[in-house]
Amino acid sequence: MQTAWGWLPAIYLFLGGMGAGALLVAAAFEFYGKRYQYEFCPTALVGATVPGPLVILGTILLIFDLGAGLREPWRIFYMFTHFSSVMTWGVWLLTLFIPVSLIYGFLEILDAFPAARQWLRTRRWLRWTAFLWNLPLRRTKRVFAGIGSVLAVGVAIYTGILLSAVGPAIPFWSTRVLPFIPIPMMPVLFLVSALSTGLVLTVDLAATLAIGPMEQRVKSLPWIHMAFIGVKTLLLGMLLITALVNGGSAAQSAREIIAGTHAVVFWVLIVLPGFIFPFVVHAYAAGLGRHSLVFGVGSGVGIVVAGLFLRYLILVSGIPAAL
Amino acid sequence: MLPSHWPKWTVILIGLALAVFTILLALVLEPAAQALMPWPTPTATLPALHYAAPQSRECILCHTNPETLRQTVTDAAELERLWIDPADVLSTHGRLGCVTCHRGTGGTTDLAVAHQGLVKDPTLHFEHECTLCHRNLPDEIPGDRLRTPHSSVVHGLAQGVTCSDCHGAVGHGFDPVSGQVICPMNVCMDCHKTRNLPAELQDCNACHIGPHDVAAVLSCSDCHTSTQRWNEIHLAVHPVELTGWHAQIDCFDCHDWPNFGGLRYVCSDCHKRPHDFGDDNCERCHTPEGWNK
Repeated sequence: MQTAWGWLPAIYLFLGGMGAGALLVAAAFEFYGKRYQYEFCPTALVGATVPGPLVILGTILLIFDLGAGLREPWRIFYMFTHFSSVMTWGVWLLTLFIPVSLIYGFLEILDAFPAARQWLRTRRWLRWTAFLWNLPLRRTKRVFAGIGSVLAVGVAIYTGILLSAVGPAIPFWSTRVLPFIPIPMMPVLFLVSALSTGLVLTVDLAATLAIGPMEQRVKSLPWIHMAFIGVKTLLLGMLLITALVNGGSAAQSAREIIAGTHAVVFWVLIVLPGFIFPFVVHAYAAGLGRHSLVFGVGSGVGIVVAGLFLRYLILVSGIPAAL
Repeated sequence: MLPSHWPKWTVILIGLALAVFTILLALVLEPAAQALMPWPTPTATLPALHYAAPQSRECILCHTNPETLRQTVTDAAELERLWIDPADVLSTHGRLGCVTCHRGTGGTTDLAVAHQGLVKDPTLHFEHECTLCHRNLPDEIPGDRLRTPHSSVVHGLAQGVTCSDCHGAVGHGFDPVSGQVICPMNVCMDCHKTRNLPAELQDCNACHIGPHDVAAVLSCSDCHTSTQRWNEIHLAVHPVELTGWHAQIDCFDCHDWPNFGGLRYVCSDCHKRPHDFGDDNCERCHTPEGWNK
């Protein structure tokens, strides 16, 4: 079967979404003060430092996927000036998000590791940066967390807008939230998925592996996960139903996902590990107030893997409009 | 949990490693899951593009290599015609694969079998294949101030005109969309003349959208003397004789774009008097040859 886009853009969409989501989680910890409740906050550290490298990696993959961009790199600069194109919005978002997230991560490292800050401050070759050390670290960090959050929402939504903009050619990607609501589903679904995978990466995986189960620190964690799974189920269900109602190649895409060529990816690699298994684990944890390390990490891995497969599935199931 | 002697910053590496691990896991799981339920061949409900890029490898290997081509072609001109620039294979259309557009039989090194059913100009034989991807084609390109006959061609009104008549061999280095190769005017005009189209379709206005609202009283050639540059003008058409510096400047240095308004033909419309003596009637002292004359 001919597919418009394959793994490279899928990985970019996943890394962009998860990076944006992780930064939003770190910023939420920063603004709600959770960052400062304990001596060491791995969630804020990972959420601030990891998004920059993830989005850089994703952007490199994207450039690799642009055949013309590789052969004639100067063409990439044209992408900055074509403001009516969704691609240009994305190029600007990434161009701004990457340095802001890197600076935010650097400031978080300085805050979390005073020894590193002291070491840098005493370097002779960094004497010219003396004026920067007089800035209030936490206030400056909050400024970058705030700017980064706005850009992160843009990056997370943009990955969906990019697909929905290809709409006339591939109707499934431009399926609306509901047939009578003129809002494309992809940006909404991708934003929720970005938040979900970002939360899992920073809290359920990195922080749990660093300091143990996080229920004591974030008591509402199972409920938050169940809410995310519920919203994602609703959005995915609406996407498939609306596509089926729309008919044509959009309906064909939905049929291929539910019971056709992509059914195994949808049911075995997305629904089971990303929806059913984590929901059972977190429902159990909500009842008991705790869950085992293995099941917690296992459900986290399931959610992020399903997040990647969700983007891959949406890309490969896009069928061009028939004439 | 991290061992207590591990530094705390290890958690950053764990975060990055988890992202990479997720991707690697997905890349392993996907083919494994697909092996449980292989993808069937395309069904008739899918779009009609005859997609065969994977079957085009043998065509590319032969046609991009002059040494291989020389084994069957001796004539230098023919060799040049059949040779494909490897860069073209990587172009947007080139990536569709040779067999997708030119048909023939892919996946074989047998010369006769490979060229069986081959078509030289795909748009002549499969006229609707371009529009599988290229839709909502414009009849006007405002940025270039040009008219195009897209609607007539797509709907079959322009009998005998195919996409490649104007756009050339898009998979072979001709790329009119990005402007890498500018479509010369004679491509349009030669065709219009050959097909003996009505006079209005052999005039400048057939393709160009004039910016000036003067078409009722003037034709393009009343003023414009060149088909290469717009600012080459027949000066005699100007109501006031243009001499000296005035003959060398662009029309819209003095006139308002696009309809030549905003000028009353006195010096002070454009020039500011730099001295206190005299009045705005500059011609009493100066000539258009220069201020010191």
